[in-house]
Parts: sequence; structure tokens; C-alpha cells
Amino acid sequence: MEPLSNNRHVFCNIHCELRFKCAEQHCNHRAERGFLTCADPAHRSLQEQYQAEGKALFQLKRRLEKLKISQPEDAMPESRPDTLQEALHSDDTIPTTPPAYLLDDPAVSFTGPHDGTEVESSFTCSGKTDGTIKNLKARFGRRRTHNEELCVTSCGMTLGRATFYVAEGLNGVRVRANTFLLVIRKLMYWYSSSGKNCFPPNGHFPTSCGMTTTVGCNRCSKLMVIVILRIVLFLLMFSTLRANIRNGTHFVGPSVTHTSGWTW
Amino acid sequence: MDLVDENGRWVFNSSAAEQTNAWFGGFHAIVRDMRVERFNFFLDEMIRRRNQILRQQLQEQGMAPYNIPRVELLQ
Repeated sequence: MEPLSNNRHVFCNIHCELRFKCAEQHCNHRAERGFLTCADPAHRSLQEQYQAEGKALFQLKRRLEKLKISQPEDAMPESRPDTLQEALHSDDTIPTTPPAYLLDDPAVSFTGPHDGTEVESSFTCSGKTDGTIKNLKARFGRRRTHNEELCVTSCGMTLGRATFYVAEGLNGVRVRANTFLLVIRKLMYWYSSSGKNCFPPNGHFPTSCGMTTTVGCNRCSKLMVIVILRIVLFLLMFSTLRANIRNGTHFVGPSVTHTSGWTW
Repeated sequence: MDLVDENGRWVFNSSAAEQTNAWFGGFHAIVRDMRVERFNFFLDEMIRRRNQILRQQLQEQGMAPYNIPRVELLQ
């Protein structure tokens, strides 16, 4: 991972060839010229959904969804457009009937966060008789970071912040923990200049933590990374914190919090 | 449970992290269109100011967050 060389790029230089790939996550076909997905109609519909979100009709649909709540089921219209696209483009005015076809259409459903970048669709594969649902997922926009990690003491003070670019393996966490230390040192400087705190005068902190655990692959679960990070940080900052709680003193270890991916 | 001491109080106050996280998540919309330098500066600055306020609040509540000298702990 590296920063984007141009603000308009979607992929960094290392992964720039991915922009020719179909935006559907598990599809390895080449995207058609002028499109973000391959010629597969299911994949193409994902792109159409993504682009529809940028149009005013999509907001009108939301308004209609609200309308549906206040109206009984038997007030549904008899005639039903064949596809979502047809439904979206058939009327220029705001329909007064509830959009049952938009909400109950098994072919297209909108799930996940509508941050304008990820589109998910589930449909029943026509070739299968057991009605297996296959999920399609596509990402159209760029994703600059994976998540933000904060290291927080139990009295609420934040010790450090770090940006993660992928679900990091253990080595990444170790490196990142060292970076954390820089921030912590900075904060400590501020701390020590602001009152009665006491710090090691030489500012010496361990810069490696001698981990012996094998490094997992990138896909290792986020939870595991967080737990390990928590342990690492606890070890690293074992030296530092204690809060004075009303009836006596408590030893307080820092904990790590995790803000899920910020996309834009 | 290791997480609770003999008086039944939490040793790890993970909700502090949750609260911070909720506060931190509010910056999402603000930092959306920032570039890297501004992004880092902004978030670090916000955290610094929150720490200042928090420290003041803690002191007003009669608590005194401070750091134990490492030497003291390792002796």
C-alpha cells in the first residue's frame, strides 16, 4: 500500500492494473471499455445501482419507502414493472402508491452502508433448483484507509492514534505499535510540560516487544489483531499509567479501540 | 474473572474506549475530504484538545491521572 499519486486515482501505483478488473469482488474478468464491470448482466446491474444512488430518483425512492409504512399491504398496485430499472424510469412524477415492487423485488436488494462506494446484491441463481442465494458485492470508489486505532486509558485519556491501511498481520501491528510510541512520546512531552506528571527522564521506551508468535496472513481476523495489539500495547506501556480513583489507587491498563474503515 | 477485582470493580474499563470511539467516529464526515497531512494534524489536534479537557474534568472530580515512573514499577 502506498499513498495515491493522484487524488483522482482509485488504486495506488502498485495495484493500478486492478482498475481494469471488474468491480465485483470475486470476478476476475476484465471490465468492459467505458464500464466498471464486465459484461455479466448481474455485475452490470451493480454498477447501475451504484450510479442510481447518485440520482434524485433514489432519494424519491426513500421517500416512498416511508410512505409504505403508513399504508396497508393491500393497497399495493396491481401492475408491476418487470425490472427495477423500468420501475425507476417509468414515472417522472412522484407516485402516490407504495413501491412494493421496489421493496419486495427478490432480484435486487440494497444492503450494507450506503457510503456510495459499496454495492451489494443478492439474487437467486436461476440454474440452481435448491434456491441457493448467491451474494454479489462490488466496490466502486476508493478506500484510502482500512481503520483507525486509538489507544485509550481507562480514565479516558487517549494515548495514541494510528491509521491502518489493511487488516494488518502481526508484523504490521508490531511496527505500528512502535509508531504509536512516537505519538505517545509526543503526548508525554505535552503531558510532562503541563503538570505534575513524572516520566522517565531519558524517555527510554522499549521499541521492540520480542514477539514469538507466527505472523498471520492478511486475512486473519480483525479481532485477533486487536487482541494482540492490546497485549502488545499493554506490555509497551506497562510503565505508564495509573489513575487515582476515589477510594484508593487502581492499576489501569490502556486499551485499544477500533474505528472501522473510513472510506472516501 | 481476571477482569474484575475482588470488590467486583472493573479492572479494564473498556467502555472508556467505546466512548472515545463513538466520539472519534463523529469526525468521519469532517475528515472525508481531507488529504493526509491535514487528516493527521486534525485528528491529533482534536485528540490533544480532548485530552486537555478530560484532564481538567478529572481534576475537578478530585482524580489525578498521572504516570507512574517506570523505574518505580520495575524495581
